[in-house]
Amino acid sequence: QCPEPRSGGLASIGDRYAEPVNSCARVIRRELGTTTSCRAHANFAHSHFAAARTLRLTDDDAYFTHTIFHPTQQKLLAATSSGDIRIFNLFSGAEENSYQVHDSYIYHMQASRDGLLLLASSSTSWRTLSALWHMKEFEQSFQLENEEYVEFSKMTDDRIIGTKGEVATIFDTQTGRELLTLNPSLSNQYAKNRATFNPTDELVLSDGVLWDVNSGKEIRKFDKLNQTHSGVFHPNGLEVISNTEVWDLRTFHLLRTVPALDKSEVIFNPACTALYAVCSDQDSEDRSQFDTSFKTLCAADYSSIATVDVKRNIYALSVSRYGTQISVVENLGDFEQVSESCVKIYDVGRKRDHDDDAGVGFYINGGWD
Amino acid sequence: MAYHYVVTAQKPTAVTACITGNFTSPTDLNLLVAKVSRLEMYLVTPEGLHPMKEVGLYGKVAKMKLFRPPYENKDLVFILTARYNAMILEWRTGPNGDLEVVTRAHGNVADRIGKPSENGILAVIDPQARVIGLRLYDGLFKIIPLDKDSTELKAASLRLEELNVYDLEFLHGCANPTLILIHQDLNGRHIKTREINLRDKEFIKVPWKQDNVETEASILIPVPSPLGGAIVIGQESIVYHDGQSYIAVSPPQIKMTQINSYCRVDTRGLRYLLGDIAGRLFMLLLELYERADDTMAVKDLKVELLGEIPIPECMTYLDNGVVFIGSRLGDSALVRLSAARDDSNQYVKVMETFTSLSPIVDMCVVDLERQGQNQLITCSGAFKMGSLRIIRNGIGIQEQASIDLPGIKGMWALTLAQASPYHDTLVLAFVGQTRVLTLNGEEVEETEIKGFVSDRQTFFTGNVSHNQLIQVTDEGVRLIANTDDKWALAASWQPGGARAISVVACSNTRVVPAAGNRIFLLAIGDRELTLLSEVCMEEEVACLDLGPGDEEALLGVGLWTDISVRVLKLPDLRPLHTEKLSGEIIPRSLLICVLEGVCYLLCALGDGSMFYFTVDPVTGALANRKRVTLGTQPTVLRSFRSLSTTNIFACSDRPTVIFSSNHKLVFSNVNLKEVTHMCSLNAQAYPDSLALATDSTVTIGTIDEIQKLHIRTVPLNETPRRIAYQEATQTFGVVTMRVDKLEWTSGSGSTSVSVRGSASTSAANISGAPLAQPKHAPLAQPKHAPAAVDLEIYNLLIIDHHTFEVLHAHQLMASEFVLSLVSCKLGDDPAHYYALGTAILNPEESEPKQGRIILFQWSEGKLTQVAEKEIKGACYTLVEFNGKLLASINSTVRLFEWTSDKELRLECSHFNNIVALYLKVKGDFILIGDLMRSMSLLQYKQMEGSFEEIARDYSPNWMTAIEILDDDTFLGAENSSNLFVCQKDSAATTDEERQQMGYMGQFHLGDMVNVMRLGSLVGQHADTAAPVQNPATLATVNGAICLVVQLSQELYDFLHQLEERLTHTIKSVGKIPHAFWRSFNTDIKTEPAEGFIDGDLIESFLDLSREKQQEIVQMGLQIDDGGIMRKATVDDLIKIVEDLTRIH
Repeated sequence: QCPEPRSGGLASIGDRYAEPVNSCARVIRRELGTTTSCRAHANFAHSHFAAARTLRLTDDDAYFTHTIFHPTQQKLLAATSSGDIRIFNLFSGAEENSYQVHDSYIYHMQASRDGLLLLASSSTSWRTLSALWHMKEFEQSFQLENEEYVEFSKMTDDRIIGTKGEVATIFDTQTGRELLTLNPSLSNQYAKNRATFNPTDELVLSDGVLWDVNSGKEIRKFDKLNQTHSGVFHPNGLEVISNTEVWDLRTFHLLRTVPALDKSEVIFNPACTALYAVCSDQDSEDRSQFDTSFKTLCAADYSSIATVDVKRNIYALSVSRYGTQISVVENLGDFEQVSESCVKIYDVGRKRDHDDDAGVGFYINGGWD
Repeated sequence: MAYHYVVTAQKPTAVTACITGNFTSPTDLNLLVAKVSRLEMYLVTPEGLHPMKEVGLYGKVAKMKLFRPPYENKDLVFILTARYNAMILEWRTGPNGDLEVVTRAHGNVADRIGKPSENGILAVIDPQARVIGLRLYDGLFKIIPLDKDSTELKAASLRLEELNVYDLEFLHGCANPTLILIHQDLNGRHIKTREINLRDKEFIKVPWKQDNVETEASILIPVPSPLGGAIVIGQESIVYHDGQSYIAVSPPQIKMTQINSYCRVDTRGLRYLLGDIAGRLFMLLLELYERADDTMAVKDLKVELLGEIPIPECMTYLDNGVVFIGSRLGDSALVRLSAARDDSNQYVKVMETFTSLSPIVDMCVVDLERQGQNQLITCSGAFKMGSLRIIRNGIGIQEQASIDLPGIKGMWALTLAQASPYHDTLVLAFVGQTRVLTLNGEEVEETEIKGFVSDRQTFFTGNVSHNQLIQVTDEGVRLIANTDDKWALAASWQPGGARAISVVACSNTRVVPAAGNRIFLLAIGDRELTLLSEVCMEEEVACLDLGPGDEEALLGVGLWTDISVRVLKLPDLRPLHTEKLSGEIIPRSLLICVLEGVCYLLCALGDGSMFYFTVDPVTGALANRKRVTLGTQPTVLRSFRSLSTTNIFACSDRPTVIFSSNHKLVFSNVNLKEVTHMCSLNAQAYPDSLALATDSTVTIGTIDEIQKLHIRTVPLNETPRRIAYQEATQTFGVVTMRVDKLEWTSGSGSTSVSVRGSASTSAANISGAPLAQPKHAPLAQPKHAPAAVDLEIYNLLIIDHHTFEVLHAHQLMASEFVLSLVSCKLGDDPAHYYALGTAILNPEESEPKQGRIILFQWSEGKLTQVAEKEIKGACYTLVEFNGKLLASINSTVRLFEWTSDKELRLECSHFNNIVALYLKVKGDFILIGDLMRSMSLLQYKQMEGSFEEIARDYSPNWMTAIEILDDDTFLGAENSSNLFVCQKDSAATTDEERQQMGYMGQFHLGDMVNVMRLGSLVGQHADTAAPVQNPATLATVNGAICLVVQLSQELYDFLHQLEERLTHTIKSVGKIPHAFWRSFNTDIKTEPAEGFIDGDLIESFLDLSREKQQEIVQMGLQIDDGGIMRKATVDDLIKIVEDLTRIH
């Protein structure tokens, strides 16, 4: 916790630990050369979101299920319930291309950093399928049969980690060859286990268990305090966030509990100054529960910055390359019967139009302290 | 495409670190000062600080520490840069006697992953020099073991349980290196010690700890053995702890302030100096008692206020009560501590100040003297050190008197009165005649000196030994002596043969005339001239000069025809050295002189160029040959003294003062158009002056302090924030901020009290809000608040543009902050107004919700408020735009019309920003700099009365300054000290391309730019040969001034190749690659520099030896010579680079 900011004057310039809450005061202070962290500015930015563009499907009865920004181009990839990926131009909003890559509902995508490869996972009622695609013409590189969730390694894109129930498997991106399988001795049975590398690719967290990648051995099993999320690594490499619990990766002590993260997927902005929490209380039996708001939190101390209610079911949220925009899949109606589907692009930090006050359906809770 | 050249005109002046040690030899006491990315080494002498060497670093100094390994007899320096380059440096005298900086070891200690600590970088060195400790990332402590022979600095990471560490140090007198640290957890701040096992690279135990020290404790001072332990400085208390005993005091003097720096005074560690953020100096004394076991222990801690110092960033104790105070909020200083208080109740006396412009928050470029030469007026410094600085390129001559006299061929000052320290006579030579002027007070009248010939042109005259005068003309040498206050010819000498005297050199006791190719040496005796020797040169003598050393002096001679310089030795005129000058231009003027202890020979040629060499005083050998171009006409070199240093004046069509700085010759322009001759003049009415002759006039004037950029200070004693120039009223408008104390009196009321006199309280006239109640601050004293709170009070000052006197101060309400100021003329209204943009700043809000735009008129000595407009936010920038007022207010940009009723009426707005901090306009275009969304360009549609967003840079740059360089090219500076250039592409075929600004260049400047203005300090760029255009001047938070200009692609490509070769030839301090240093670097990306030439690197070509320059040329560089490409020569390169140095 920061010490109380002192009132203006000398102290406001001299004390580099006490950053003013008021952004105007921070700008004045910056001019005089007092080093400022980006934290306060980032909090300020992540308290406002202005809708910049709405993308819709022009045709058929499918609906959007997932979305990501193209990592190198001003384009947006949106996946649909019928298994295709639509490419939108972010300048014009026009749909430029459409590729049928799966037969059914695509619920997750991830692109490699160079923008050449794409991982996508889809499911039907009887099986799940993940595959790696070359993004140029969407030729399939290889399939990862039965993998429910796949993502790239963190420092480079040379490995892929897939999750199938409580089992995590590491694949080689080039060849698709299996490199390592991490099978816990006793399953924690998280509803939505998603195996993931740590920021240095030396560790893997899967099924609530921390693994050493080199040896393939279990290092630590975290206490199971929720049913859904195995957990993700904080990009600072020091913490693991498992649902509402934040664990110290060095001591394995519980650092703090953040109730705002309950049942939420956690997405960090690229500068790692803020995180987005999207509640996805959807287990495999009943997928109809979607929240209509997302939250932003300070990535340093997990204090709440804002809760943004979009009044529609949020199916997915992604952050642009530099964190200046987010895209949100917003659907209306029941899961089985989506009546209206769109992807909305929001500018991070921009206030809604010229209304200087917080608009309708939008409130900031807590501020930060 | 766009190509840019960026160069530093004024290096950063903010002092960021300083240390005292024996760096250059075991017996030298040195001060090492770090100014952001520069290191300055000084020798501490009884006379003061003597500069020894200055070097640049390819990085910002984050930490600088000294240590002395057991095998060394002097101190080494450890430096860590902001981008985690670590290095160990030694200052060593090389084989040729030059001081050089040797990189003993280096390495990058960055991690790819990790959370950089919000409390900043901490670096400590074990007192026994066994290990360096670094805290760079939260939760990790890095150690670099110090091995004698390793040249690579490799850090090992130790897991540090304490996440939030505020300070750490190594304790003295521990068997294993032992850390002490202040850390914070949910329960408060604690101190803890940790012992390190160096072999296993791990923490082994916690020898002792103390929970719950003061909540604001953030400084640790380790105490040397035998006492050991550490002092913890807090907001209200000071604690000494050594593991067993714990002594805490809470001295009333340090309350209400914050200690931010300290230094140890004695090696035993009983006395420390503490500095606070208000710029006060305290002494902390440890009082000891003897324990039962005869050891000493700390009994008490005493704190005493010593007095006022610059607001410190760092401080270091030199010797004999002398302390160096480094500041980044104004001038740094050398202060002396005295045992007794002086008249003003201070124990501290400032001995010397070191000019600093830092931080420059705003500036304007004006041609105040209308001489075609711009000056910068900067808002510099903060709080009690706030000032305006008037900065001019080159050296100014302040004219005192002038006489119309055409055709002067020579000029000398004489003293005729007996035993007078002053000159009283000026002798002027013309073709075929000589005239004598007497200086009688300020009066000048023509006179005669008995014994002087007046119908010939004098080649030399002066006061010489035995109280005599000497006059040399073409016919011979005349010695004039004084008897009973009457002057008369005492001796004379004529050269034999057909040739008359053509040139002459003279010292106090020797005169050396030359006739044709013969040189004569005459001794000046009492009423006699004795020929000592005579030599015959191969060619005719063109110019000559006598060096210092009287009877054994060196004589420099320049010859016709073979275009050579000879060095001869008195008394036998023995030839010592011959140096052929290249080319066919005849040497015209020669000078031997000693500057900063180095003997130089300078020889100016008929085409305005000049060679210069260093001279070995014994062997007469010339070395380090360099060539510069001073002007285009024959140049006359004269030496003169100013403020006890010798300098050289080069008289030509581009008069230049040559002086030595940091053992390097520096060439500085003089603010005169043309000077043909000059001499020093120290007359009673014109002390310490110069007499300067042009084709038509003699001017007597004083010269500014000798330095390349001339800086004049107007102290304000409060923080200047914005400046605007209003030519119509001959005034500057300056927005300042003063810190008053809000004090609660025994009732519930509060009053604000100004702490010290400053510009706004001592103005000739004062208006506006009284020392007012703050609008938003609580009136009743909060329960736990201190007895007084700092309150920022803003003023608009009207300042006379000549005298810089504060004519008027208008005070704003408390908590109303003025953020912008512009001088404007609106609509058809003929009046000129000062427009202020303000914000009501409530510290609880995330951004201001209210503000004002206020218009003032200064007329006939009165300031009148003309209009006021309430706005919903902070007005960050105001610009005059098409006769209207353009404002950025929080996230919006708004255009206000000036109605006939003298009201501001909103015409149109633009909303697409996070915070629109900066605005620049050109024609109908508006460039916006956003807090975190880079730049965007609007077009104002006159017909529709609306804005249209034309283009935008979609990068997440956090802007600090912007400028429009030309119709399509935009320069931006961002938060992480980078520059970048964007271009709009109106010709692009798709909307997408048009809407997106293209990146045309990016570059790491290494300093955060606060302000950009079009124009440069050098008046007519047409005057310089360098083909550059659209200059913009940049000023930084660390007091640097830089220039950005545009280049042609050909020149860019050429300089880029030169840059490339220079990076190979020049060894960087700490072995940081140049490409790494200049790469565009922010929290989320690092990309190679492009589109910019590093002018500082290019200019360093001139500092290289001829051999190194040759080496670079041999790598093959092609230049365009009248349409034909050929290989560039060293002289080609020198010419190109010199031309570039003249643009700033």
